[in-house]
Amino acid sequence: MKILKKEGDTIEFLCFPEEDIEKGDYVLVKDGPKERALIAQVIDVQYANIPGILEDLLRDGISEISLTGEEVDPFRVSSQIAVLKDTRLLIAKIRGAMHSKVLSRDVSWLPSRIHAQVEIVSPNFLTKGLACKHPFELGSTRRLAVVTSDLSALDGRLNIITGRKGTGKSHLSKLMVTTLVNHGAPVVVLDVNGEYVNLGRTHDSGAVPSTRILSLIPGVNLRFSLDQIGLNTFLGILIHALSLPENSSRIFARIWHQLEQQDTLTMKALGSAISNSDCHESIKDALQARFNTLDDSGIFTNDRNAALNLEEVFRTHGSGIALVVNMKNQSATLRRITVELFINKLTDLLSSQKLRGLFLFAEEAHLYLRETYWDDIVTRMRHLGLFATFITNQPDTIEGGIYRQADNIFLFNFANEHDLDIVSKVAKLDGETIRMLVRELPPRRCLAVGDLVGNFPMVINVRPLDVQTLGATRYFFQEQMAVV
Amino acid sequence: MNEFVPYEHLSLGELPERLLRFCRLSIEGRRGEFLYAEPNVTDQLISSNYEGEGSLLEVGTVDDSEIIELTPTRTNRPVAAIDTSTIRLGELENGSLCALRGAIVKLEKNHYTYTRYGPLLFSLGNQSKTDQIPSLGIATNGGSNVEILLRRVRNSLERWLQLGVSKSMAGGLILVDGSLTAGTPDDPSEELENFLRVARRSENLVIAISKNTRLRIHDRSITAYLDQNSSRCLLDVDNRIKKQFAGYPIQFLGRIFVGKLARSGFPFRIDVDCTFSSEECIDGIGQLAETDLVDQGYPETLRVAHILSTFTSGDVLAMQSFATSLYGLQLLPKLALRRSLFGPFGTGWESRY
Repeated sequence: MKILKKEGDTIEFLCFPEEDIEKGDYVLVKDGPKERALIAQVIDVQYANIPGILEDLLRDGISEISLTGEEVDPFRVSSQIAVLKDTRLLIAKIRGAMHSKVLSRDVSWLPSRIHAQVEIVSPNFLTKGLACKHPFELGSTRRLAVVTSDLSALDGRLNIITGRKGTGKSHLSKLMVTTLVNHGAPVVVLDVNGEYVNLGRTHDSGAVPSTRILSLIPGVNLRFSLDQIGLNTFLGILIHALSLPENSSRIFARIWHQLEQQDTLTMKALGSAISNSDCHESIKDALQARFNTLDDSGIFTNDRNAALNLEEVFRTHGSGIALVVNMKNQSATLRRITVELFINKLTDLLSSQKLRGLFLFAEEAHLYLRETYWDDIVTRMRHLGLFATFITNQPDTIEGGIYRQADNIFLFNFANEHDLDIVSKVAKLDGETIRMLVRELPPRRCLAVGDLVGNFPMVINVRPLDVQTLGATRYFFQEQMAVV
Repeated sequence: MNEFVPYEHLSLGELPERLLRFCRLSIEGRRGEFLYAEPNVTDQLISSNYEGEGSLLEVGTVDDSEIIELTPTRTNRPVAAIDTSTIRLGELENGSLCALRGAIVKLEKNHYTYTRYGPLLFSLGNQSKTDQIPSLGIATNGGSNVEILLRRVRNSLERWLQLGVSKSMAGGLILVDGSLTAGTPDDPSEELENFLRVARRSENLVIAISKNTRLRIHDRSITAYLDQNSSRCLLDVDNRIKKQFAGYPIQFLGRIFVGKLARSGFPFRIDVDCTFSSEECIDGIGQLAETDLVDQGYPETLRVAHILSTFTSGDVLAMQSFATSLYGLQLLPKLALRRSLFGPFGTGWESRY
């Protein structure tokens, strides 16, 4: 390989046919005696623009189509000509440097074009800087059978997993969930498709699930008592999830306080108090309708023993647990109510230091997370110890500001220009790299960007999971499964 | 005679050992030298080859009645075309690194086949004791002009290929690029005569076709006289041309025509072995016009032979790289003198580099 030119952070190499290199690979440009090297990632492989190549190809075309013949080439010079025709141009982005064998971000110097040696490097070389206190196998690359990373790189971080459907986003998030749980972390999964519920079952464990994955179904085993959640949370649901006007919310607060003072705060009592309230009929109707919705959801109970005690659940599963909130087949309203309740409860636990930290995985969060929550989760709740991972196949449902604050981003395949435009704004990586690499990723392979890969973007084959993942796209014609 | 191998041992399956040895030894003697790459290689690639009569000639007048209508006749005669090319790859300390390639294209039973020879790399122009040119049987006449020597090496390979085709094919039409003019130091007439004799022995008819000619009548190129004629036709200019050269050592071994082989095609100078009668020559050209494809008036076999033997810029790069890796030549860009002296105001090719 030879350096052809460098412009900004883009460096181009001439690569000869016998050199095995693909998009996503890293090269080290050693500047000889100065003991320094540039680290560059190949983002595109093109044919080198060799003089006379058009004539060569036309000539080959003529002889291939209409002629048969033989070459009498005793010195085998033609093989050199063939090499030249297959010479490739590598477009690479400079990601860092090495100074006296230490990784560095100082890339302000230019290597010698004549004397520099260009060699392919293993991803292992790039991630060795990660402090592996909590190592886990993320997957593999073309050049490395096992890519090991550190769970600490997820701790306190905001993560985004995105890609078009069927490319393996959920698979990666399941890998992260099970790994975190196995390392003793508390995890909550907001599961809209019910695809995480079997994470506790390995392929050969049959009907005996792991006790560290707890599936919660709203209204069945996910229920709260009114004293558990308090007026503020309840009002929050009425206002944000059920759009209760401000006037009506004041009336409701008054009713709640009266019942509390009488120590008769139950769902039944609340219903009666609203019916018997002397407020304006329209307010009464508004309150009644919303109360009925909440009551019908089954998510509230007067029986404290039937209510979910989150604090107790996390306390008894100190060695790690994943609470999977299964919202499959639920109405949008019930999803919003459930999430509002759940996040409020988690915030309470984190604020009161009853929980040290929590990893939240939210699939297609735009379906149930109100707009004001996004910034709240990314900023305030992060300081409380709630570390979110958003998973979506519609990248435009996540605001640009959130992409810019993300610490780890996992990009699966996107072919759509609009989607690529959106993800190109990822702060930690240039748009050109994303466009070049992401467009051609096969299923289960992603471009990982961020702390988890030592801030050296890496194309990774996500490790297979030995659990019943569900959630895989279902096909009518089963043979398609082999293709996808 | 500068034949590489005796006629009896001629086989087209492999190149003559004498030529291969010449290539090998001529470069071996230059091992480790600097090779100054030619920046004007593309100029060589597009240079025109004239058929060799030298200056412009005035050959009298032409009457429209002299134009002969060509009657195309389909035959089963095989057609073979031979072409070669050379190029200078760069300058050595005392000489040049050159390359040679040749191709034979055959049309038999409506099927085209080819054999391509080379590229062969060799050095020329060294007058030291390591000079290998005499080993080819090529006369240097004490000179070391690379252009002249290169032309002679090329002619030698071309004659060898022509002889090989003449021997291996019978009853066919043999097409060569250029003319059947000989008698110059670069192209001795004995060699051309030998080729024509061997071809005749196998009942082959040799036809030479020139893409360019300097022959003129009334200040017009002889080919211009057929421009207005859209049909296939011939003009016999043999007598008029040969009269002009009565006192010259040049020998015309072909009967000279101007011919248009395809409707609305280009006219070309066509030389046919002059031992055949005029009628036989015209019949032969008619057979060629119908047996081979003659798109735009130029035979397909000859067109493909030209394409296969020509060097492209990519070939040049690859051969330079081959020479440096195999023979330890050290490639350096040639000093662009004009560029150095005049910068962007240089007027030659050097100002472009």
